[in-house]
Amino acid sequence: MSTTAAPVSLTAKDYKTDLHPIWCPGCGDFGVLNAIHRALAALQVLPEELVLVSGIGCSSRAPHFVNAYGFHTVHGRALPIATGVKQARPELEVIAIGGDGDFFAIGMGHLPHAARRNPDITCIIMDNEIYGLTKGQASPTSSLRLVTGSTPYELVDQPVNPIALSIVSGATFVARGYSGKPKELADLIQLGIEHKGFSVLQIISPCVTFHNIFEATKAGVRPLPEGHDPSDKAGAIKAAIEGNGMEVGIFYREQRPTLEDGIASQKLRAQGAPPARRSDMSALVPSVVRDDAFVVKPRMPSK
Amino acid sequence: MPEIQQAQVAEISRLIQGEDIRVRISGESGEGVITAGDILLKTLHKMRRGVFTYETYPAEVRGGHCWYQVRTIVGEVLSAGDAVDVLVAFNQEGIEEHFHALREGGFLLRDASTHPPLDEAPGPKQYFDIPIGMGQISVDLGSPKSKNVAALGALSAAIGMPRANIESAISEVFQRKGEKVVNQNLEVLRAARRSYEEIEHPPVPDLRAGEGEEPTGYLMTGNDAVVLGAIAGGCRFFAGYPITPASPILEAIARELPKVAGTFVQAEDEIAALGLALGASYAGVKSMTATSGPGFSLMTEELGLATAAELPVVVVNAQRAGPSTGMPTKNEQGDLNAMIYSGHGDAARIVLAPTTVEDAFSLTVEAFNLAERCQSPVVLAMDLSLSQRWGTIPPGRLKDFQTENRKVWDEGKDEPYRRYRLTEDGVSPIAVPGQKAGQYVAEGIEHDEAGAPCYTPAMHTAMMDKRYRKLDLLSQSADKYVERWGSKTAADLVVAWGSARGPALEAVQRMAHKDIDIAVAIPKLLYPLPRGAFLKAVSEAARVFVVEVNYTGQLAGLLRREVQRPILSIAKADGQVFTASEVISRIEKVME
Repeated sequence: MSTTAAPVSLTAKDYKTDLHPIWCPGCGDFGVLNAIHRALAALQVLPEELVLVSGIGCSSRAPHFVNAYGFHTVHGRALPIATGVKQARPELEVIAIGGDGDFFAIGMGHLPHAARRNPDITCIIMDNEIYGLTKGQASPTSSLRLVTGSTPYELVDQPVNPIALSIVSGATFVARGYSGKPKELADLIQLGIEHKGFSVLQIISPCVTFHNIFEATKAGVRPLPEGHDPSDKAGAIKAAIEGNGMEVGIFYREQRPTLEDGIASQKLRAQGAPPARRSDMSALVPSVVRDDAFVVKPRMPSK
Repeated sequence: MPEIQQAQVAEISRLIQGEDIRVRISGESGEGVITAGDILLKTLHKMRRGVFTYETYPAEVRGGHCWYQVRTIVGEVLSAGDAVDVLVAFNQEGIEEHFHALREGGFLLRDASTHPPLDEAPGPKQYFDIPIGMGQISVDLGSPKSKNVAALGALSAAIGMPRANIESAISEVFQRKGEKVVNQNLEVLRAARRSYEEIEHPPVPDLRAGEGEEPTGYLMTGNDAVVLGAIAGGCRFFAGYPITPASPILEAIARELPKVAGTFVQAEDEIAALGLALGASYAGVKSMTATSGPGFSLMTEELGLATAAELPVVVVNAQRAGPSTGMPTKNEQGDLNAMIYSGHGDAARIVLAPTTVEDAFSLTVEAFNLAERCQSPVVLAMDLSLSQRWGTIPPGRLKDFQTENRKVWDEGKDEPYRRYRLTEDGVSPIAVPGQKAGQYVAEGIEHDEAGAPCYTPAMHTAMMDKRYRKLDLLSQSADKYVERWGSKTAADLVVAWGSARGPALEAVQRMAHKDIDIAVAIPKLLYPLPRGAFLKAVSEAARVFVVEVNYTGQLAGLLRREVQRPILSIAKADGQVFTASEVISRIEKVME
């Protein structure tokens, strides 16, 4: 966390950029972006210490609309790239951002690994249950029997369960939010960023153009039942499996060492002194070649 | 001398001399072939002789046939050599598989349980047949696993290796296993030496030692040299996924990086590996990954991202025989086209090709320098034979290097900051997260100078020009990546890259010795090809022969696009390295 108090306090407006989002009017992603701006202001994250890494898709354009460092990468690879940023520079605040296609289809292979490593990254997934940028094909979170451009005879693939999957994989903060309530969503994103560890935020963010489920979502979204205990892993998985995908709130939360903690401890455990001089690698030869006998001391030049 | 076939010693034309000796050890995987080769190698190193190794093993962890070849000369050894002087065979398969490689008048040093080769096609060969009770001696001395050491005992006696040198090599290799094991092995060694000395045997050559009192230089594999070069070049982040033959790089750098406060991550696949490295590079840390063909193919899309987003990163590709899974433990230089061009759009990238273990160190440092200078991905083209082979690095080399860092944006200068500012040399100062007012988005989408997505014809053209300008400038001042040997006015020119350099150079030297007007040029920068010293030489030669281990002659193909000259491909793809004799006969065949 880099919530160093800035001398002048930043407002949500300070996190906006001059670029106008390419999204269709009424797109759920506006609500998510708005909530991100608010959450950042609440946390007073310094823009120069914030990095947003995204994949490809409508929602993955987000880094251009946040006053921060950004990396708009390739489809599906936001998580490994964000993990690289965070491990190289643990002091930076890192957010991986994109859509359901990015994280649950092409990039699905990376999500469980990010979850089990637990880097201190916030993963914001704008889930519209459709491929929007390519004009309306079924996505891995589309409901069964949905008719889309790619499923003219109904979708027969069961949707993934992002919440259950994330919990089982080892994510340490797993929540669902809704783009239609930016203020509540901002609070949820703020908690996700504050969480030390890998946070997965599945945010229902409907597409107005290719899969308009606004009305149904608005009517269906409800908080997790009162008394839901986010520290109970089995209970959280049960809630994720038995729910209908409309419950919002924190499903699961735990604290365990982050990947940065782990790598720092590896550095402490690493035996042997670094080369006395960075300009001479010969001190490293014994451990690289891994056989002392192969190291032959050069005769000292007569000085 | 009862075991000599079909000839008296005097009639055998070439007895083994101590100048240039090639030994091949063959046996079953698990019989200690590789350990025997390593001990032999160490002993020769202690004798201050140059060494060149070539080993091949099955993909299986246990079982299967493997062999290890060592060639030694006083001085630099260019290749694994042609026909071997001594074939050491632990079992019958070793004899049947490798007898063809034994030269006329060579020694067949075989376990006494075997018999001479059944098939001597095409014709009877004159050789010294020397059975030694390798297995029996080790069993008798209560150390049944020491068959390989017994073989070394006989070998050391046969080729005149000093007892003190090999005994100290054995002590060092087995010291980790304790004093008892060391002593048992020394006993086996001595018994086998005596056993050889007691039988009637060919004259023992005078295996000359090199100058000086003790060896100078470091003995290491090509992969080891890459790891040292990476740390020297400033690499402080590595992510990778295990793959043959690049895994030793991953393991060594996993040990070393944390000691210099660097970070190592084992990725879930090669896509993640390069992604992690790109993330670290974006954050300002020099980063690398290492892989082989199948992993390299997976990295293709992100290599394009590195080109478009203009991020430095080093990708080591230890090539092995393809296509697909191919032959994971066999050698090939079949990835040249992929290393330069793989991926969509025009995004050719910098490719450096080390030719020796020493090069593997220096060019890894250079790979980081070029990546930083050009803000581009750089591929380091290793191959299985170079990755695995042992060679020496002169001690001075490990401190004889310079490092470069990317041009970082000066805060407050050129505001508002434009990440992809169009500059004369194509290089735009880069802002690093943490720098105030430097916020920008690194983009894989075509972008304007500020990094905002932009698809106008003028901007796409300008950005393509910018990215290729960096390569053009590099190609114009790349003479230092070219090695030449022979007359600059020779009619014929041999070109080779990577590990093919040694056999090609040796072939040309042998041909020039026979007054053939021929020279050699070795480009170590394969893309962009050096314009001055290399392409000029190629375009001025009457004929150009391109020696490489792949099926289609990939560098030959590249040269045909660059110069209007007869380019003749001397290519093969059989999973092995070239020998100098093979190169000579292939060139002579074309010359006829």
